[in-house]
Amino acid sequence: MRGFAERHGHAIASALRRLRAEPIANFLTILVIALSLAVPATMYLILSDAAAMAKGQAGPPAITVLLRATSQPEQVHSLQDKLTHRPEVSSVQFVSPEQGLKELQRRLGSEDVLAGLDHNPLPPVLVVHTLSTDPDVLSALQKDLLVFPIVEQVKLDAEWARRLHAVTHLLEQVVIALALILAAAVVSVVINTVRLQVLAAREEIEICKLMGASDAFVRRPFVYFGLIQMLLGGLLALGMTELARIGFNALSGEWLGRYGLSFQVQSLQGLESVMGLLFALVLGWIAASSAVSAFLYRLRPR
Amino acid sequence: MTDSVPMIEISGLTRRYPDGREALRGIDLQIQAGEMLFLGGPSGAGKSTLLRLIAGIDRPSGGTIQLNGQQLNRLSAPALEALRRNIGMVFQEHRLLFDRTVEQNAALPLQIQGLAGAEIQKRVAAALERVGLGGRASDSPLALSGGERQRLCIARALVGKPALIVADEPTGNLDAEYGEAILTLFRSFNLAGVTLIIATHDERLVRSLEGRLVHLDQGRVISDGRTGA
Repeated sequence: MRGFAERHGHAIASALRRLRAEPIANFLTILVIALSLAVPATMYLILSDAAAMAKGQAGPPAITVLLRATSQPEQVHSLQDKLTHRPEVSSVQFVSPEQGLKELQRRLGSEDVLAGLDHNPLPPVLVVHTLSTDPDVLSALQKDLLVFPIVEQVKLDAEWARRLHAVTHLLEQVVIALALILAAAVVSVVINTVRLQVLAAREEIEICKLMGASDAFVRRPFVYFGLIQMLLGGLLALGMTELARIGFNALSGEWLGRYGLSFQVQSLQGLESVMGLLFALVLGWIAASSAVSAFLYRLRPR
Repeated sequence: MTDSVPMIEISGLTRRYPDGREALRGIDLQIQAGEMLFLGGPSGAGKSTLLRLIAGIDRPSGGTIQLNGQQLNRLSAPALEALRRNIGMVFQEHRLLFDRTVEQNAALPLQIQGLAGAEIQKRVAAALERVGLGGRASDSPLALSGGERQRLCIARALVGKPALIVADEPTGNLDAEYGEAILTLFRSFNLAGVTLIIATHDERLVRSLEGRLVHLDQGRVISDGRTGA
């Protein structure tokens, strides 16, 4: 265990020595990494909050289930209970024909709605609020509801749900595509930086290999070099993302305020920040390892 | 030649480089443990190539090399690395790290072996003392003379307590006085039981030391005899 700690201690010391040897060049590399990470992180924050706001403005999707007039209260209660336990359903509200009539009167502003009719023709209704906006999920729920004998008709605004889902899905795809492009850029930057370090240390690597150093021994300091760059770049990116968020909120607050609207982007949560940093470290590890391995492969005796 | 199993057994060894040049053309050689063997011959005779093959730095084109019963041709790259960790190596061009101290240079093989810090310090101090660099531990190799740098290389080769040391032209860049001092140092290791294989083009220097001299020319062994008193 002590030997393990010493080996890694030597490797980290060596990596820090390399970072200190060229402070300006390494700072610029870290800045590029930070920018490449901060741009998708900021986009993610803005787009995810925008999508959430769009959903909030539109209200949760609701399915109106028209029941047969002959439905018994226990049958309605049983159906309501079954629906409440479904994972995609957030709540189920029963609207009796009397409540429906009152709502209709309120909306029309007239108490004479039933003039000329001898009875209330409105059916009992269940209003099902869902958690999902996925049109496939909603259509499946609609089909399931039609199976119940007391259900007369199911009304679902599928087109609205489809549009909202398409918009949020598109925004997610844009963020993912952007993140992938910038992740590739980050990997390229780290590979190139580590490759330059490896070339500068060519003599040292060759001497170590002559003395029987394993690939892991040679690779370790360069992997730590890449990881430290990514860690510093990642931390700087978190700071940049927060600054960008504050700037965006100030600008959007002023602009949207003129139209009586408000939209505030929230900070990255602790878990999101940690996951982002871990992602950056994994990228750094892959990039640095591949840069050194390519060089070591050429040194192998054949 | 004794009847015991040789430490190194070389049979029909050839090495052809990618450019078609044949550096070794069928070497047969047996080296016993505890021997002090000089490889003589002019530049391009194949001395360095033979040393590199014995040390597992390079792979042969044909023939076999056995070291302590292990056939090197069949070893994987990691197994060859493990083998090299147990061989001391001295190079004519020193191959020192000039951004590290004398002590850190000497410690490199032990760090590669993964030894603990306290053990490394103890062994490095002893090795530097042995080659007369005890007081220069914290100096840069840039502050050392040519002879001192070569002694630092020897300390680095010695520090892992290897049973075999290979040295490629260790006196090549030194004047006669320093050269003799270095060879005397090697002789003292040999007397302590270390097997030494030393490539040198300066056969006058080795004739004063007792040992075995194998003369190479154009990739072939042309003589194999004794030197010294």
